[in-house]
Amino acid sequence: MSKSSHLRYLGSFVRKPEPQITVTNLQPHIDYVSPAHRLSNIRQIRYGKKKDETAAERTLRLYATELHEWNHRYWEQQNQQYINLKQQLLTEIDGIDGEEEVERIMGEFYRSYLLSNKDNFNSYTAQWRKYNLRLVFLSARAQGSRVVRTVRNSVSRSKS
Amino acid sequence: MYRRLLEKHFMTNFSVIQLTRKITTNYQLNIHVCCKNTNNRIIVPHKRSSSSLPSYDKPVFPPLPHQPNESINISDILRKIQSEVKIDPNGSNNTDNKLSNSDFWVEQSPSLRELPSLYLQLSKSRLTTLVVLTALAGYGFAPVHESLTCFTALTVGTFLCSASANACNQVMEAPFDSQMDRCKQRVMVRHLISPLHGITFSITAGLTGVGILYNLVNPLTAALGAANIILYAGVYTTMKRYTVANTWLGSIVGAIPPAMGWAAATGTLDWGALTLCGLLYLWQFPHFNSLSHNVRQDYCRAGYNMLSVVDTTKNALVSLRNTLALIPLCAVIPFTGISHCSFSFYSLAVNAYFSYLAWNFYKDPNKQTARELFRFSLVYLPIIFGFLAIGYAFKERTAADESKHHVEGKYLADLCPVLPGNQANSIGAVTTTCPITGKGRGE
Repeated sequence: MSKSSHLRYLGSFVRKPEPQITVTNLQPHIDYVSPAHRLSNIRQIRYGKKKDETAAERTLRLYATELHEWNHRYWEQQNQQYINLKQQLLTEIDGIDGEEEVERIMGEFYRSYLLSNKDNFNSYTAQWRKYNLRLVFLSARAQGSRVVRTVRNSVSRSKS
Repeated sequence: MYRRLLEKHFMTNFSVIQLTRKITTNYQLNIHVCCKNTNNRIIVPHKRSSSSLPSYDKPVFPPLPHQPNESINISDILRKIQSEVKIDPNGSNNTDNKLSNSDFWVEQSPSLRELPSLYLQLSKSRLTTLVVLTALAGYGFAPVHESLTCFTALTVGTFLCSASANACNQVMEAPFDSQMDRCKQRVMVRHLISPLHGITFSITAGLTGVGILYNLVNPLTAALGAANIILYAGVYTTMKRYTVANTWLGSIVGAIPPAMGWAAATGTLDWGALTLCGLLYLWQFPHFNSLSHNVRQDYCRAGYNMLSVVDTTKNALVSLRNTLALIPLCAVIPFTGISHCSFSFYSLAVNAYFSYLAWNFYKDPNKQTARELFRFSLVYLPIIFGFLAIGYAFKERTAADESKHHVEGKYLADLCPVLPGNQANSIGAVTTTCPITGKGRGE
């Protein structure tokens, strides 16, 4: 693709380099959050595993990992499709002069992209709302189990 | 070898019940982090989710932290990498190529000291402050003597209600916000606190805010606050994904705070309250439509159903016609008794310029015109409320009797037979005593 002024329509996430550096001295019981992925913009979480992890906490950890991965997969696919379509369009309109015409074409592109992906977005939204609510309930359950475990430990400690 | 082990435990349908069953039968989940010399890959057992997305086997996340043999100073590494990174020779001043703290894996463990600032970010504190100011404007223009308890409770209650609505919105919209440049630094996108924490904050703030308004102000204000939370966090957030009518609902949400302030002062809603609400309702359109025009590519990519994405011309037309409607509204405001009649003329100049900018945006919708319209919309409200306040103060000086809220014959409002307060036993008449202290005006 030639260096035209229409490049600015691509956005910054295409030019960003891969993150090359990693944090060292990882501690096992702390959650770590990654940088935003270059393509999907979703951050991954490495959930820390406590030594006396309860079943509810384990469920939450696995579920949350899966959920973030699912989000990542979806947005990666979606954004890749967006970038491909936009690059294709920009190569096609490479020779066109005039900002107004380009703006009009880009507006038409945004509209058609949104309308063609409407069902896709709707199903993702419905699923995301459901999974997010489930995540909140699982977190509450895990938190409750942690409280129960702490109380039980302190009671057994005071007994012994 | 690990892959075969994980494939043995391949689950086709991910559900909580199945997972619990698996745990009780000693299901072992292995997360294996390879050592330094191989590719840093994380292998997670692949479970086909219930959505219709294609399955894949490759791990796609950035490399996870590994355990090195010796500890390394991070600032040294950063310096080394920054010296090696090639900068674009075409002279782009963006810092995209430089690595920053955001390129590292970070701990998700907010300390108690950070929590207040996180809560303020979660509640969009700047926006919430402006909402509180509009509520106080409604309170200030209401024709009843104010009490400090009422005033403070209104401030705190409105702040908490708005904070609750914004926090709930951010928790619900985390992955969509991550796709937008404007919103990708938000708290929930960066996973600084968990969704449970965010929802708890939202529920607590909402209950506290509505409780304060109910007990220390009056039930009408509390009802309006609760309605605002439900409308914003429930209805508006859902509608954003499905229909362009979300902007109209959002304008209603923005118009309610002055009504809350007026109801806090008088206990009822009067024409004055409705005109202030109308002012904010109509203002929302040029403000939001011009903003959304400039970020429409982000809205499009994130899948939001906004008018600027669907129909650019109609987007500008909607903002134009609502800006033009401000002119007759501001002309009518002095009839409600809020301000002196000269407000109509001062506001005409401001509204004319606003309409001129909206007309430019409609004629040629581009970034420049949208930006100009948006910038003026930011200063429009302070200017208009400033003029209203001046008119209100001017009206005060000419009042002969401080204990009455109207002096017969002095205000146009008293001459108009249609307005409430001018008829005997009219519904919605403005009270002259504060519902909390029981004091009349001027006492």
